[in-house]
Amino acid sequence: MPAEDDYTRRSQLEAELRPAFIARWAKIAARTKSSLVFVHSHPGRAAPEFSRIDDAGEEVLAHFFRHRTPDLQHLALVVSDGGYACRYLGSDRHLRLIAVGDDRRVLFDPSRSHDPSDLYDRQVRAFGRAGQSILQSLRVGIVGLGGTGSLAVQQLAHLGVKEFVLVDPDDVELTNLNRLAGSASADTGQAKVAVAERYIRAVQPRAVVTSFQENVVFVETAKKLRDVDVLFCCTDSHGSRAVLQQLAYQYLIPCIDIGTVIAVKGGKITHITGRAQMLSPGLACLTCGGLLDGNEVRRDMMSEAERKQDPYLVGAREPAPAVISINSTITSLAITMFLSAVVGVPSPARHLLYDGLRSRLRSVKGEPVQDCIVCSRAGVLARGDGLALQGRLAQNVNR
Amino acid sequence: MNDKKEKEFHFFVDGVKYETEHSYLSGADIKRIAKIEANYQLFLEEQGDTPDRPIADPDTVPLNDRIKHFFAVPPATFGHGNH
Ligand SMILES: [Zn+2]
Ligand SMILES: [Zn+2]
Repeated sequence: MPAEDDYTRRSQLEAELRPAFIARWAKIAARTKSSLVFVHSHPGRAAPEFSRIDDAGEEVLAHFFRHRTPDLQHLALVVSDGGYACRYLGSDRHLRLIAVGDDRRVLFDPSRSHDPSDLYDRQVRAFGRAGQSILQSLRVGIVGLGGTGSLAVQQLAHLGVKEFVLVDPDDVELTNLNRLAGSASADTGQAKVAVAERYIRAVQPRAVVTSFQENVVFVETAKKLRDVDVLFCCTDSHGSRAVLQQLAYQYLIPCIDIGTVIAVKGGKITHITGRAQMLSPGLACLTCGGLLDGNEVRRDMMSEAERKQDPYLVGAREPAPAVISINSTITSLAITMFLSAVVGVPSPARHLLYDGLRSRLRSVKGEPVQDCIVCSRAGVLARGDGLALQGRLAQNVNR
Repeated sequence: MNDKKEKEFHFFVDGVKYETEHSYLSGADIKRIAKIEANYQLFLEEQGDTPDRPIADPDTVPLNDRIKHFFAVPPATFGHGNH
């Protein structure tokens, strides 16, 4: 926030910040590759519009910044009691304003014009027309189209989501068919993303589906998820979780992480557990919670050849048991969490633990670790393109 | 016509080159030559991590030691009158 003496003028009608203040922030922006947002308020209860004074003031600022920070885009935001308006500094290109944290709320959308048909009547009765139109305008990224991801796809498509970015490197195997929603026995050998895409199109003929049969641990692949609105992490690998949580905090994309375990020892089921957890600014990340195993992350970042050469990695991974009902329970919890975050369904938990043996569901809340290398301001939070993503670099032979 | 040889000193403002016969100029002179508006503030770019130096209108800057790069910063004005 500017201090009192950073202003040359400040009245009910107009405010002017000193050039020295602008120079200081231009320098910080250039050094940290950060975008600046100029925020001011207008009086009154009407939805704000940028004024002629704003236009003229921004024009000179935009000209200055084109010079000082040619690679960065800066924004102007005006607030009133009636709402918000947001645009690229010095232009009339408006953009959506979204608040992220425990929720993901659209505060301003210059292009909102969806009018849901009766198809979603039963949901409109629950979420309202505005809520349903938000669902239909979301671009959702789903990583992992197996036991939980395929169920997430199914539910999201029926809810009315129309834009999907799907990422999964694998083909369907015979042993997947017991829990792969939307699959048929003839799908063995097909890409998992193709099965998911087929399902979406059957429910949403005009859906926009972009599929990548790639592994998200590759930086090039992860980058393709930068412009989604919400992420679902439905993989069972630590490496992909590490990449996705970085995306979530660095690009302010709420990510719901889904995990299930059914464990067997000596022929007896010893654990039925599941976790649905939202990763979003202000919420503790997986690193804070100690949920990521560094050694596993390292293993996932290696190629097959590198793994064979690494003396510290022992053994191959045994296939774990997997049952569709457990996956469905956790995925449904995650989708309700999603509905709470995007359309305000009153279900405030953002970290849920399911214990199937005791038929218990608990909501937990971990505190973010101060200066966490991921989710804090000292970490990757909001750094966007100013910071490289961590992951594997080249898409080499051993996928 | 101008005798080009006399203008042996030059400097840059916002990346544009300007020439002068003077080895010293004031901030006001530089703003006048580069047609910078009066309410803009002039800064001298320093090398490396040294912070850039604000140049007030009466400050004088030598132009004969190294080539100087200046930039001009506008104030930021916002208001709500006449939509
Ligand atoms: Zn953290
Ligand atoms: Zn204004």
